[in-house]
Amino acid sequence: MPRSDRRTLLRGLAGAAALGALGLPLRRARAAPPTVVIAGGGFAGASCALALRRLAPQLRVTLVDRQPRFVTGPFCNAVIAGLRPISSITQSHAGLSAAGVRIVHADIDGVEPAARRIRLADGRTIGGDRLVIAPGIDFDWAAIDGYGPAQVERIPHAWPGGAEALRTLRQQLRAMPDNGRVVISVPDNPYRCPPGPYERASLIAHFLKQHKPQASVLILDAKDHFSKEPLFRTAWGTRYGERLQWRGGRRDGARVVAVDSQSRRVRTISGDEYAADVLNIIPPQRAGRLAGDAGLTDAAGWVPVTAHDFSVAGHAGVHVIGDAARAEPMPKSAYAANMQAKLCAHAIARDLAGEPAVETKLINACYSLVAPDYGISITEVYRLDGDTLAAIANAGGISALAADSQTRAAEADYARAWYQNIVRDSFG
Amino acid sequence: MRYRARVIAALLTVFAAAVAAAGEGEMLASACSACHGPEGRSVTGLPSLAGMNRHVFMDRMQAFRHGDGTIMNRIAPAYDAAQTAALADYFAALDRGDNEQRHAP
Repeated sequence: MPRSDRRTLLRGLAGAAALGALGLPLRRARAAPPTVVIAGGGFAGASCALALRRLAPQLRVTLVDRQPRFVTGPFCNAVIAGLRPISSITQSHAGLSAAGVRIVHADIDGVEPAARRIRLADGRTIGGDRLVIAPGIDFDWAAIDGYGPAQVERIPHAWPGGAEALRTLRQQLRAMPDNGRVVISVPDNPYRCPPGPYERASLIAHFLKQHKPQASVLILDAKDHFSKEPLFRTAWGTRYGERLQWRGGRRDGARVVAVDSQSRRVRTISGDEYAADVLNIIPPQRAGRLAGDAGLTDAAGWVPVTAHDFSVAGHAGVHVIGDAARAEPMPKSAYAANMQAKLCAHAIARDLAGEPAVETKLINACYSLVAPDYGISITEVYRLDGDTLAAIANAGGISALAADSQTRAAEADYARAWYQNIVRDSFG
Repeated sequence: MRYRARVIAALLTVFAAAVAAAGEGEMLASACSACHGPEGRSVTGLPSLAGMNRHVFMDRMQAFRHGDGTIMNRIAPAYDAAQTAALADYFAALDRGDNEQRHAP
């Protein structure tokens, strides 16, 4: 039998088995196929919706998000540095619609795990046989004195925070004095996109080198070490020199604890004060509001999940995927969100078809641009064995420390190509 | 009748194994598509995997395990022979898709 026929047959069988798994009488089930509702339309939610439609076309999938446009974290630093337009990182849910996903753009009041439903701000509820929550991150506004939602307009976190935030930060860079200083405050782990702040500092340094050669970038980090550190340090040395400086958490006491938004000054835990012409505060983070409000988060603010299907213990039929989930050793990245979403979709399709979970392997890969012609990467492969997720020891790691400029340029090209393919894989 | 029952039982066993293998290949392959495109069809310069000859796929993975590549040399060592074969079979069975679209910038 050709593979495509076999797959069609499998889908038919899966559909028939799904009815039994849900304990529904055949007649009723035929009229009402199994339903999955998804809260959140970023990389995780969108990828899950699309994968469910591909794997099990008989499922009815509804995705709810408050906004029709999604500005991606990946490549937001290139936008800030003026290397590409915001439109090139703005995605819609039109591709999901075309794939048969029902899209609802409405403000979400909350999710109700026990009822497996989403409560909209207008009072409507949308429920399903499975509830997938992909709320992304929220910020811990109590962490830094003087920096909260009221300061975001003047001092954008741009993480990524929507088109307006990116535009503001880009404009501030263009308008800053020729000998000015950019200060970037970076939180402790875990947070969304571990190498992102260092890519941001790099691309800002690239912008300054071209347009304001007397200006500089200073990273004030809550940590002592960071993602792809040897690669970034090597590249900074050769490309940016004194223009880009980094100070660490315990080593230099560089954790930012207070911000004066009017004067754009910050104070660190060691009591040092720094003045900035452009100030970018990336605050500490936790799971998106929907997860916390529904009581799904742990003391640190993230949602513990069961690795083989990203379900939440004690809440039957409820899954949390993407940045909000606690999925160590996987980082919080778009790649990981897309990967977890597909695992979750497979698990839901199998579960509804009455099939057992499979052992499999997951990948994370993250590219960073140090400059438009200088890309570096980190990757990891994970073994999923029952409920254990573990990085495979003989695989993974960062780009070669000693590599020629052609290799760095090739990785920069791969980064751009990856973006096009993951967007297609996530948003259709 | 007993013979026919045995044949049917054997066929079902083969079918169940095929189901498991197909599911395994598809799930493993889903980890590749963020870079290589949905169902192995890339819309960029990164290579498409859909429709790739299984021997070519196995040879490339073997070369990556021996250090070829910029990132695949860090990914390929995680996959054993059976998983590599499941991936090769899965991608080999997929349509290549529209040629023009695959090579669009």
